[in-house]
Amino acid sequence: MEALSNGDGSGLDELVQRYQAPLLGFFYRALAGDRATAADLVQDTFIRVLRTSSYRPGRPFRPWLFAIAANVLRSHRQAAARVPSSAGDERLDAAIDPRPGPEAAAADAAFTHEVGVAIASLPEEYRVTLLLRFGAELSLGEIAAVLGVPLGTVKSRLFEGTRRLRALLGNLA
Amino acid sequence: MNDEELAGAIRDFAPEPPTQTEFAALLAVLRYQVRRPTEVRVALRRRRDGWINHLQSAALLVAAQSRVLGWGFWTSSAAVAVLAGLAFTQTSLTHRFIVYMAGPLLAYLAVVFGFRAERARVVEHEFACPPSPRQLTLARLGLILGYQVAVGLCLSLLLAGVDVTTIPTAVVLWLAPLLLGVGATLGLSFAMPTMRAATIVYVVWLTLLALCARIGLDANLVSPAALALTMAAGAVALAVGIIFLPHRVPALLGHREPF
Repeated sequence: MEALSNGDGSGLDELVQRYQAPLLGFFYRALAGDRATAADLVQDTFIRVLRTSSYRPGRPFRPWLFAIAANVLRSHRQAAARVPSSAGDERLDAAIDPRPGPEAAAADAAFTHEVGVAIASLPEEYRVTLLLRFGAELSLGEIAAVLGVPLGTVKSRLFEGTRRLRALLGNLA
Repeated sequence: MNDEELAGAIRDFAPEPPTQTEFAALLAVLRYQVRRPTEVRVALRRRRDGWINHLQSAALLVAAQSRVLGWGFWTSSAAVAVLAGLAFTQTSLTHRFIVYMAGPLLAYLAVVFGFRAERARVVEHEFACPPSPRQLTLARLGLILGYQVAVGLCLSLLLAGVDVTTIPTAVVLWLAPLLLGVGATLGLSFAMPTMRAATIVYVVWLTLLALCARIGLDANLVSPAALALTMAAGAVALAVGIIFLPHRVPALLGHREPF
């Protein structure tokens, strides 16, 4: 990371190789399965990583990266909220609309789809906390650092988030 | 559904892994973003990481600023310092006057070289540097004045045979008019172009010296009280100039609004 900030692009391949998929997963889950937008946000995150100089060598990279990703996601949602209903909403509507498929064959897919919809319907703070914990697999302390909130808040958000998600998915369990 | 099953469900809700095409496309975009930063930016980044890097970055900043000033400044300043240093070895009032004239001349040179970007209409480029205009000006003034005072003092003392008792005199003789020259120039530059301000200050100073010599007040002018007053006035003018410097930047850049 230090080399990158000094203009040495040799570590870029490794950085992208290592974190493109985790970031894509984070955004994909947060956006209810909108893979195209998730890929765009992955790119935005990496660009912010290259432009920012807030990283301190020796400190854990992964939480710092996901802190940037969480900010990118927040900016995206704020921008989307300002834009009148358009393609983005249609994608969300499509995700929320539970389309019936071939029942037996699509049982797993339907459940996965419902998970995405359920995650998307959670309030922002619970959704991001759950995704950082179970999607990005950060520790509670790392999540607290990423979100800039106390550890107790992370625990309560995690508890409440899982309770709500479980309630939403309860009829499918 | 327990916590493990819930976590598994979230993990299972995963996208297709990025393809090689997506990987290559992302890399291409990011490679474009990776640019080698300027040495000033590198120095600023290093400064945050401990005192050794702080020193290294300061050295880099000084080196960068030294190159900005060019050889003309260093050699002309040294030449003035040599001449005044030679004069310092003489005890006559006339020679003390030469030293007294040298300080503001150095201040004039400092302004001419330090602010030449204003004349060349590239001051915006210089002020686009990551440090604030005030930091940049302070750094440059520190570098210029430090060099001039150090050269002048060393030469004076060396030529005078390093007499400890002459050190305060040498310091005051060099520093007092130099500070007054720079401070007055900085103050006047709020109302007019810097080069004109520097010229006016130096001409007024020379006129004052000539008048004092003419009416026989030359001894009073280099008396301890007058020197202390000159030095204090210079320090105050310099401080006021630096404090209000950001308000002057819009004028330098051709804007009317406050910065």
